[in-house]
Amino acid sequence: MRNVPNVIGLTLFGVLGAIAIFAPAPYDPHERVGTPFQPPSPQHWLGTNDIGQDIFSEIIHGTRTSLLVGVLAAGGALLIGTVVGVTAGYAGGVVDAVLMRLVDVVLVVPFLPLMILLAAYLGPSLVTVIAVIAALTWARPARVIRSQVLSLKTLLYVEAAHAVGGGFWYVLRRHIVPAIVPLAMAQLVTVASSAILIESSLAFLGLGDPVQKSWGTVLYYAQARGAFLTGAWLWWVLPPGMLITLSVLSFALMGYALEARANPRLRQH
Amino acid sequence: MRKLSVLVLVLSGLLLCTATAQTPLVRLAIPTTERALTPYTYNTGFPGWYLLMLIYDALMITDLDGVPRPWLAETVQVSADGTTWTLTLRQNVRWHDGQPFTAADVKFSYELYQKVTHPRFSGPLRGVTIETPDARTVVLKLSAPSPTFDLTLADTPIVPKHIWERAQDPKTFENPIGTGPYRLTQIVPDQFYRLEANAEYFAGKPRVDTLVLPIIRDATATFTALQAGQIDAATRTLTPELVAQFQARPDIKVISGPGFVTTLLLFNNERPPFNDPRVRRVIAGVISYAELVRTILLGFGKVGSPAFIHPDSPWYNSNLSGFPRLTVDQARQALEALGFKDSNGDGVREFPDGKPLQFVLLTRSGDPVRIRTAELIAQAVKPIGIVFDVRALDSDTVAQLVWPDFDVCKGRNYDLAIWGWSAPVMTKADVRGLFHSDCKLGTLNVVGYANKALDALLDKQAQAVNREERKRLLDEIQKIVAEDLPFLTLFYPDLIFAVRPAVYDGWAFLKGEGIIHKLSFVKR
Repeated sequence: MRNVPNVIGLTLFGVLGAIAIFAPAPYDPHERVGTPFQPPSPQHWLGTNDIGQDIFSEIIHGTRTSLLVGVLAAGGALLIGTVVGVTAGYAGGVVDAVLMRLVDVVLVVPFLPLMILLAAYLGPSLVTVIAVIAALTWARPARVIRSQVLSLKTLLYVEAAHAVGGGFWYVLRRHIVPAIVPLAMAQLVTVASSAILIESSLAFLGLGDPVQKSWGTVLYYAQARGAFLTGAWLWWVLPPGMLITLSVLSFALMGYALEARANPRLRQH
Repeated sequence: MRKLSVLVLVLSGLLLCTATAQTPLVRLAIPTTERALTPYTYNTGFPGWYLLMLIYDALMITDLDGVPRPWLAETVQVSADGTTWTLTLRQNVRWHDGQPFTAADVKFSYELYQKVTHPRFSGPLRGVTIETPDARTVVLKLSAPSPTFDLTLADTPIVPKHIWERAQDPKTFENPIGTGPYRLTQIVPDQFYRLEANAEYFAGKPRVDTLVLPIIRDATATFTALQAGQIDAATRTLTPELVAQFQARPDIKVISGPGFVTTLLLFNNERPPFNDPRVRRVIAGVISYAELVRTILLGFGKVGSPAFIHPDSPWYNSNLSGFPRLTVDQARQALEALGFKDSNGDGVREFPDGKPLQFVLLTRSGDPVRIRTAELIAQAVKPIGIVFDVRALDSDTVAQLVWPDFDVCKGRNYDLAIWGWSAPVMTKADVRGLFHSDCKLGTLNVVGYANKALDALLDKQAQAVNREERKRLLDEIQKIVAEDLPFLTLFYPDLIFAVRPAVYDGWAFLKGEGIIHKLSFVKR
């Protein structure tokens, strides 16, 4: 029974992933295929947007952007987090103290305002958004990984490896990295889900790249062109909103399952 | 001496003069605070200045066609050389505190704006001397003829000398006594303004007894309040996609008309290939302006004129033949002939030196209408082998690249941009600012356009002795601009307002500027 959330999470992710890869959209989302502001019809399942592009196709293609941002930003954040966490945990002393104070700073920085400021300052593009998210979300994985490294370091077999002359890189490769991979995977999934949320929020506020199709930009145009004052929110706002929820849900479920496996204290017997 | 106008506002024929009944209260929502609503403290050009002019009057007023007519003045006469303007003031005009209005007030006000810099009123009064031979006569001497000086007379509010001469610092002085149709009776900061009708107004008691101006910052909240009947009108304009829904309601009336705000495609005239008017004409030829208006404005707008001036402006040259029209094939042939060939077969043409015809089209990220416009233009030029990469940046960054520090003399750093000028540029038909090659005079020439023959005409029209002479010169200028196309005027979005007609229906549409102005409230 305890595998159920994991299965649901994986299935959802599989479906979204397949949509992102194959993009089974009926139209080119950049092509104007009808008159603007059409309600849903058999030709356009979710109607058309403010310049006559098919909203359904936009959302399908938006999946690609949103998942890409999620995965890449999370990957970047995890890379920084792992390097910082392993270095701090393994080196200890002054290096640890300095890196952990840096982590503290990043953790207490007012997150969204800084994000908005950076996005506005660096200009809207997908690369900027990914870089900004990665630069602001690496602190938590760094923390978690550091504590794992700290406890690994004191384990007998690691100390034994040291004692027989195993160098830093050898111990790292043979003993530390394999032990933190499951934990890192769980962190990757958590960060990915928040990255998707952040990308959508920035795009909705008009701070993403408005020319790129993503769930957030669909919402941005819906808001900017009066969908909340007319009935259009039903087909223009709700579907991308649901997809954002579903993707975050799938990541969250996978994250729980992975974390339960990786973290012995959460393992159920 | 030639009489500019002796008629006292014979406008009534044009207008709906049905309701003579008084309306007790109109609630008109405004989007931001206007501080104390005095000449030095109001905040915005629209609606701020228009609200200010409900409390104050100017010597002239623009009628619904945008032509200045005498207002506080009874007659306005201009000397043959165009430098001496003699005005006879209206009799029996009183300030809100009962003091009589005289020529001394006019002299005091104009000299105040000359002495204490005001961003709007000071510039046009530079070099003007004011004489008052008697209490009813004002003689204004200009250093050079100015055919648009009557617009200045209609733009500049007159303040009472007996109150303002006591002001320590006019920039923060908050006394709201004017001669206008309304007196300001209450300000609750960041909440609302209350204006009461001036029963002794010289043009008759205004038709609405009390105007309440609540401040509603959010657009959605404003129109929700209108639908719910919590307000009766809004200075905020309605976006085209909401018109159908508002028109369908029996209790709401949608009033729309021409707007003088422009949406432009700027070419950097200093960068190849846009330094060549033939290239600009090819690009102009493949853009469908009617489709832009239909798709982006849902028809609520006018197709641009090749020479910027709006067809509803009194300065428009109606003999212009419009933008060049080219089919995709004709455009391709024209580019081939100019030496732009696609030698590597990738669908994008190259300069003779091999660089592809690929350019960045800048637009503001906060403005969905402009982003969409940029996207449609990029689509239009793609089939002829030119790539426009649409890049949406925040508005300050775009402004800094196109118009660094709002100073044309500092140059420019862009290929193409979607841009726009506000209504006053159109009202004044500021062609010298837009097109003059000297950056001190061509203060709005952000494309870096230079045409020496045109410069001479631009200088001449700025000092024409009267409107007729200026109109002739402007006709010629528009012909040259329509040939050269330094930038493309894509469209003019209409101004759309929504009101509750059951409460008040006396709104009058002032061409290019909308329904929020004095003539919507005084008897015409």
